[in-house]
Amino acid sequence: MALKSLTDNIVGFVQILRQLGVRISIAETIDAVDSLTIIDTFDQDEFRAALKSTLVKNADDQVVFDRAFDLFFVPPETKQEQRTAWDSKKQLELEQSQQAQEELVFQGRPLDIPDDLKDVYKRLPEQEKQRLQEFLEKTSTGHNVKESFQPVVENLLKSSLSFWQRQLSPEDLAQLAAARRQLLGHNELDHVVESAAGLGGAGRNPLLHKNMQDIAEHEIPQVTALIKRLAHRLTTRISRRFRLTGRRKLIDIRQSIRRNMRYGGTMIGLKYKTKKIHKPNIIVICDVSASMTKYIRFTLPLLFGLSNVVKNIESFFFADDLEYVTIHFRRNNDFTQVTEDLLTCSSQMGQGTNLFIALTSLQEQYKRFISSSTLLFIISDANTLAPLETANQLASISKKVKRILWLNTLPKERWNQNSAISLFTKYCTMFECYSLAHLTKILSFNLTRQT
Amino acid sequence: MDTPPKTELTMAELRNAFEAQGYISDKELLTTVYLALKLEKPLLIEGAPGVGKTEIAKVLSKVFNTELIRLQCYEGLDENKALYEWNYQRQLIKIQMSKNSNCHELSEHDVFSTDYLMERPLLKAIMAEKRPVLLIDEIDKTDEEFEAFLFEILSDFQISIPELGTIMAKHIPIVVLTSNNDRELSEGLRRRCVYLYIDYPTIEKEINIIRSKIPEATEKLALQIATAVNYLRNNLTLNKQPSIAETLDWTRSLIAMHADHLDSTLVKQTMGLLLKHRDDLSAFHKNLGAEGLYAAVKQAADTVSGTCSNCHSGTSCGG
Repeated sequence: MALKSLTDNIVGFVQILRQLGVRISIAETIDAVDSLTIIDTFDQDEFRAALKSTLVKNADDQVVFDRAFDLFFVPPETKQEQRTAWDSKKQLELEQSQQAQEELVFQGRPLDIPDDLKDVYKRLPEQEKQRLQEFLEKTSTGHNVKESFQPVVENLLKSSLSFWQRQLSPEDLAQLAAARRQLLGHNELDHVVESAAGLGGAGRNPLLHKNMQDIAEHEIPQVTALIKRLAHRLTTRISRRFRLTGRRKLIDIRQSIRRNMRYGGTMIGLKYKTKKIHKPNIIVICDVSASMTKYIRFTLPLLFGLSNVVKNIESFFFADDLEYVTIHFRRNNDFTQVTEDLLTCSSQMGQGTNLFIALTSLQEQYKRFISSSTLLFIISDANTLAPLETANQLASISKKVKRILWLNTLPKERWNQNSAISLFTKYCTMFECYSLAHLTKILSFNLTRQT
Repeated sequence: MDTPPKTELTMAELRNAFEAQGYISDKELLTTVYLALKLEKPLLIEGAPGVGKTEIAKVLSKVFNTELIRLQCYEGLDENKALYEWNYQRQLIKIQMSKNSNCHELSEHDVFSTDYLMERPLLKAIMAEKRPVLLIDEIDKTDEEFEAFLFEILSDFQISIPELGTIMAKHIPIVVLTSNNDRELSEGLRRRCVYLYIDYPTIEKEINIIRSKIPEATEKLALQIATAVNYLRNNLTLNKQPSIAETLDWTRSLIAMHADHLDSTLVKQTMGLLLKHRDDLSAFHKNLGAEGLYAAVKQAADTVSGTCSNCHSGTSCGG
């Protein structure tokens, strides 16, 4: 189908934006088409502004919009060039897929490998590909190797490719995700979707989307300032939930009668009573085990930021046991000093992980902090010993606190590789949280309300 | 004589009107405002504090020579304070008076009439005789429930008062909502609005703003101030970045001190007008200092003055 009219192009452009993660309703698409009848469509700036203001309702999405706009609304000759480049890229990808299909065989039969791992295989260095092919060759032709041996070979290959998948950088993962993106089946649109997605990075502030394990030393002050600002949102949200509106105010009969005695009992001035604002207590237990040390530049500013703006907060470190660290995060303390102190004094830093012991300590030694108004935050990648016992402890604590919120630094697509996560999510709400963008999103939810 | 009311404006007229009001804008901003007016949809403006979000509503009320009705949002704002309230005390007095006079039997309609209705901003905007500008300021400060209630009104522009019935808007108001993004607004509200994000201005645009708002500022001073503020925004990690309003305050105070150019002593004496947070001030003194800022401004302003010498005419450069 060719995009002939302006409306066709707008609809196509909306499809592209949706594919890139921008939420656009039909009503907004109609608004965009309507807006074009009002402005001068030959003026590119007006045209861009009209589409932007009617289709994109979020500052962060504006970067995606600009990128897609610049790729989609181009002169016909540029469009032709883009199409040629896209066709040759698709041809190359097809050839690579065919080659991978031919190479990943066992005794001449194709192996059942998931597409995401096949994508990882295609990106492997030649030397590693060669090594895997030699392995397949040897196992295929080995003595007494029967057809039934194929699932074993498949599992070995999957493990090896999963290892390589874990070594990929966030940028590579994003590119792979873009490659696997469900395309629209329309050449003219698909090349924009893929090119715009492949440009990587997003948003007004690139720090927001950066994986916090890759944060540089010089970026820490910025991260800390951003987290402090984000943490402030948490405080305003917490108080908001518990304030009654005027409609729900209760008349204080006693006070009203007393006040209106001077008017002979006619109720001229009413007195109301409101519930006290009740802020929940927050407990944060933060994983500082060996697997989480790469996130310390994220978690420490997070604890510091929260402690600076939230009053009722208790902070703990954990690895193979629980360590009380609230005293380090006093208001107006110097962040660099706090970091230095914690890195040198903490007994938990870099140890193995046993969340079960940590939660047991929390229940036994610090039960004074646990109440029905407590929000318990766990910051961890969920790699722990004794997962079953940990889940039981979580179940027990979840009955005593308002809510357990788990901020998981592991990307969501890897959660299925850790069977413990499905156990834990029965008793807590788990969020993917390895960047400030994730944290922003989480703090924009109503965390005190059960969902 | 009053300016004749304008109900319809072309894009060019809107640009001229904004310029006449001293609001330096660019094409994106004007097109968005123009679309909101033409499509009769609320205009949702987001951006950091002090970039001129509220000012747009004020300018629009001046451009259309109409009333600006402002609903300042805050945590705990409810329908009573936004929509209407019955004047309970007046109703009671009326009842008491009718009891005493015994002249005629008082019916429910007598005390639930418009005489006893206290209009709050939303009802006032709907009942206005002339299309008003309704500014709903800092919508992100309200509860989610109030936001949901609000976007029902903004869709239908009608209000049901049980005792009086449904009141339809005489004229669909020009609605401007502003948000500092303290809280994520609902998709429902966003969908119903035309959206505009205002970022901090470029140096060139800020020079124009200074020159337009404070004509006494010399070209050199405006350039140095805009460069200094831009440098602070981009090179220091601050809790609260200096806004345009603070830039203008700084300029006014420098002019009051008879300054026609910046120097490190002046910067040192007046930095409190730009940075209003103790941590920000100590970060400034620790990481940059008055001398450091002055040196950076001197170096950057030399470059900018070479590339943007045609931007100092006091008109919009679309930056």
